[in-house]
Amino acid sequence: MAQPAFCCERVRIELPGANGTLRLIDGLDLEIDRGDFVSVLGGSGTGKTTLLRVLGGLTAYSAGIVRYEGEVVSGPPPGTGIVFQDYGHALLTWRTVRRNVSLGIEARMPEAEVARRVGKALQMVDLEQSRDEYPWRLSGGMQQRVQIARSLAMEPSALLMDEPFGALDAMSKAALQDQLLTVQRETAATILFVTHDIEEAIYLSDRIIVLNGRPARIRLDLKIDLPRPRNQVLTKELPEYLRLRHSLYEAFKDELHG
Amino acid sequence: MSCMVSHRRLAELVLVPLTLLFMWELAVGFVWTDFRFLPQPSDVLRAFLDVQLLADIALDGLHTLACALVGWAIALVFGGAIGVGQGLSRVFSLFVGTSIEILRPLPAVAFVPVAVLLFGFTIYTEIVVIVYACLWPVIVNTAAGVRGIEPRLLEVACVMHLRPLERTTKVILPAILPSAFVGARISLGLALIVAVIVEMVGNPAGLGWGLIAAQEALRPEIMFAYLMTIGILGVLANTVLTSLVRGFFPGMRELGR
Repeated sequence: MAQPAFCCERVRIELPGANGTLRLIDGLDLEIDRGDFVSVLGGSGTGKTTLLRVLGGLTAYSAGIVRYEGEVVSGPPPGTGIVFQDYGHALLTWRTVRRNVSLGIEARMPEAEVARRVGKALQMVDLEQSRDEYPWRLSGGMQQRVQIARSLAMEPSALLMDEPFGALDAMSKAALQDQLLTVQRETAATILFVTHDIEEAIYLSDRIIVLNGRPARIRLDLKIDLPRPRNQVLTKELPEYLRLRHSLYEAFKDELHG
Repeated sequence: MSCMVSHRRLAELVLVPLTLLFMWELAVGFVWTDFRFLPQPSDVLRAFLDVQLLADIALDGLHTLACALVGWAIALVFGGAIGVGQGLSRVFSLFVGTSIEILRPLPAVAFVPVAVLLFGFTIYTEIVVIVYACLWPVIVNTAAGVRGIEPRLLEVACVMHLRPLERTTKVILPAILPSAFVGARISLGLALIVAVIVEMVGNPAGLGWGLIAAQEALRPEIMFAYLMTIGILGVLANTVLTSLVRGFFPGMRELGR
């Protein structure tokens, strides 16, 4: 079998809390295959975001081992990109859209290559019109696309996305979901997508991992075999979609009803 | 009050000051006052029309402005460096923090006698005291800017694998600019104030000295002419600085429109 993109073995994640150390995740075993779109679902406080930060090398884990492409993770692994939920804080307000997107590559390659990659990234998220605007002049959905384009410009082999569409309205959300599916088809990047939106997770993913409990463990690990390309209307009318939706809501019953 | 964004019109900006000047003119001209040496605004205006006096004021203004700008610029360089150091390094902050907290509340004016003893009644006295006064707002605001950097931005720099130099020039320094600019603006105002004070008691030159000389010559209209010049200079300096910064950094939303 091919080497997985991410691999966690008996990983324990602890964070300092008000009443001593908080053990968020313990004994986590997880493999994420290359090119897979994997969503991590869970109620708030289950450590989804923390898990993403550990995979992205931003938070240290206290036991076990995390690997990306076989290399132990001890800082952001080369070839991975992170898209944060709070685009308002993650973008450089003093740089135009184009120069935000070029941030990670402008010092590493000739100008022509930078321009080519920025152009391609902006085209993938449909932002070519706004290339010379400042991000704070754009709508929330457009700002989030700037952040996605900034990661894409680095041509990552894996993209970690932390509730990227959580703060957006329903229309922008649907549009960005479809754009993301196109991006994934074109780049074949591995995508780890943290969300608390069950429908979103089913619509986008090849696989869904449900975390719950404290310390959290993997409660459900579902393969999503819905046909691609997916469609906001048709996919969501398929019996298989409804069946998955049903069983996931069932899994979250306790949290949904208090 | 409307919350709609609108452009301020000149008429709205100058209505109140003009009314006040007019009332002043009337009060001195027609109402009995006890002040022997209070001129009417029209007297002050006439004083400005005297070419010789205008030339004097211009030269004095140039002296005051030059001293204020030189002292301010020196304070920006050193204050900025100390502020960034304080914001970035806990150790550095620990070492210089106490000295700063002790020196900062001392009124800069109290150093005029000290400076006069050291440097005499010279331009050096003036600049040294200006630097001293301007240093603190720059240090405090720059350090606050560094400490207030959005942690997310530093994570972005980390995920993008920016090298330390890149991180500093492309993320940290631009991020603290708005707050450093607040310090720069406060201290530019201070620089003018302190320049005038030092000219009155330390270095006999510039607008401050012109003010004293007019007072001693019992020429209130000239005194007020100097006073107004100082006021106009302050407004001009602030306006020029703000528009320069806006021009250089068009993306700085925090600087306001």
